[in-house]
Amino acid sequence: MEQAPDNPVAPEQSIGFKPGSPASAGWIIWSILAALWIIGAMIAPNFITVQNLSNVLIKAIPVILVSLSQAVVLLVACFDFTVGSVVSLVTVIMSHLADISIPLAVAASLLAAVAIGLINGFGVVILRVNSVIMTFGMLYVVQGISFYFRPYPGGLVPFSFVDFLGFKYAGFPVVSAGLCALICLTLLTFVYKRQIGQHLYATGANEEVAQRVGIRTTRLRVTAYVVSAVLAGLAGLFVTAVTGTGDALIGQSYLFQSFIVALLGGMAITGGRGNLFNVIGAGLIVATLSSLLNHIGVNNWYQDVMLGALLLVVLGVRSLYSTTGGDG
Amino acid sequence: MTRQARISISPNYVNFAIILALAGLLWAVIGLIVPQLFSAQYAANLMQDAALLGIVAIGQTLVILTRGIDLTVAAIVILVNILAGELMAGETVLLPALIGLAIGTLVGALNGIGIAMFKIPPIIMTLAAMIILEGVVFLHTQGVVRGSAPDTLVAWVNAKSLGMSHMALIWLGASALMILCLRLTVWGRQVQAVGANAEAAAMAGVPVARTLISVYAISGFMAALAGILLVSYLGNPVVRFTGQSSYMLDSIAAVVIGGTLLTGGHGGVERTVIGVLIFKFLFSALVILQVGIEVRMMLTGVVIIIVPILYARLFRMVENSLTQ
Repeated sequence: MEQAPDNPVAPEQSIGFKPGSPASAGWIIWSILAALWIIGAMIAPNFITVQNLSNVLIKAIPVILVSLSQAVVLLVACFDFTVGSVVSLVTVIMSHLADISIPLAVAASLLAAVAIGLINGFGVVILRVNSVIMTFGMLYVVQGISFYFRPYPGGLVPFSFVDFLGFKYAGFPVVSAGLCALICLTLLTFVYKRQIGQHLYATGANEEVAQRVGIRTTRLRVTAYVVSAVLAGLAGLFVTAVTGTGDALIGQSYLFQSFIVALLGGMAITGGRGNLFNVIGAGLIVATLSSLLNHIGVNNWYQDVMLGALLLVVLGVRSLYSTTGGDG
Repeated sequence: MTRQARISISPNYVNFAIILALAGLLWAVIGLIVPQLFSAQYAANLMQDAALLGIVAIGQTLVILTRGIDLTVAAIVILVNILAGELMAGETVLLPALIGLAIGTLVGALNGIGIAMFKIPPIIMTLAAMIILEGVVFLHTQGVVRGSAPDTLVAWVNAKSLGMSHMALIWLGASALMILCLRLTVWGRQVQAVGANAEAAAMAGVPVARTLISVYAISGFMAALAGILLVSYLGNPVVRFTGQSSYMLDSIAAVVIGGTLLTGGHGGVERTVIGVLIFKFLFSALVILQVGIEVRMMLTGVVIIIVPILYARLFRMVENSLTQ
């Protein structure tokens, strides 16, 4: 799982990692994570406790899911600006429908996500709208829908839903962590153990060549957008389980985090490179870092500024390493 | 190169005529539905209301002409309006205004450096810069604004000459200046060339990096100018925009409605002036019809997606019929 699959198309110019390229250095991400934990244990006495570990995990789950959502679309050389607004929309849908029936509300949330993914995908593939513009426009459409149904944060999700996903065994949120692990494993299996994953990488690396060897790149792009939207929708369900209410703005911060984590995790903006497994590591890093900074008493706004600066430094350094520039 | 340039001039004028005709048609249709909009009083209000967005949209047009996008504009407007208000402290004008303009230009230039030198995609670069600026604004103000603009400045900005508010005059003046620069100077040609095809432009000897940095710096400058005018117009700085709409989305929408294509190299500031007016006109009609802000937000999103597709089709048809 640490290795990207062999590229059936053009190994030397597409997904073959260059030695020394940060994208191949998954071990760096996991070492940083380990280092953060060691630093945390040394400087903050309450850092390595069951309660704090469990808090970090609860914080990390939606971050990991939205980042994987962004990463899947980055794989095929597209952007998805709707991830945050899908999270918001799902909390709004849940806050209205979960009272009636929880399975109905979950189904409606995921259906809405699928619909948004399909519209994004068709816009990019059939109308040939640039993916930035397509999803940036859709961001406001989805945001508007959320505001229409929930102008102010409110509504209450039944305790049974909150209690189920928030269930803790020996202090750990076993149900949500288990479900998140299951989602990640399913995604990684499809991307790295099935042919569709190789096709995704090939499409992102070089669309023309991929088409020439018979890969249906348009269908794959639509699939990537649907998978992305569903992952964002699932993130929304976990967020709802933590907050218990509907909030049309809660997803905003996730949009930015999804980019930071996916790009820190080694995904290339130009597509076809990077490893989803490392994105999970990067998600854990960001959640850990945030918890660590809270322990030292650093304001949340400083954290945003620092993350923004970190993203620019990472992209800048990567473009210096890369021969083609900026693609990581 | 010269021959092609001669051929491409005529579609440009035809396209602009089409945009003007569409704007007139839309104006007539909306005017029939909402007759209140047909008054001289309203026309003056529209110009004043459109001025700040119009100034921000000048910079956004240049950026979009080079196939980029600038998400920092709203954050720069807010940052500069707060800093200018604090530095003016109800007394001085010149130095605070210059400092504000310098900061806006600097932020824009830094965007340009990240994009041109470090090859960071414009949307990511300006998104990160926006987050950083918003954080800086909040850390600096903690949600409380201090300072105010001098009364004389407030009075001047709110006053009218030649039947036009001074803000609107500044907007039209800046637009005219930028139209001339784009059409008549070497730099203007270089901006168009970078937008049409950056690689070809680089091979033809265009200083691509310098052009990009200048474009983002101008966008930052224009946003800063709007920030200074905002605090001078209201008297006190604002911490954030009320409602969900902001100069970020609105400026992109106005540029797009004016007919500057997001694929770069096609469009200009004269189109954006029309686009800003249509955008403001349409939205004040929606306000009068009591359409909620969430619906307006959805509409803006749809406009950003659909309008460029329609214009691209239209322009291609014009070009084909003219060259045959």
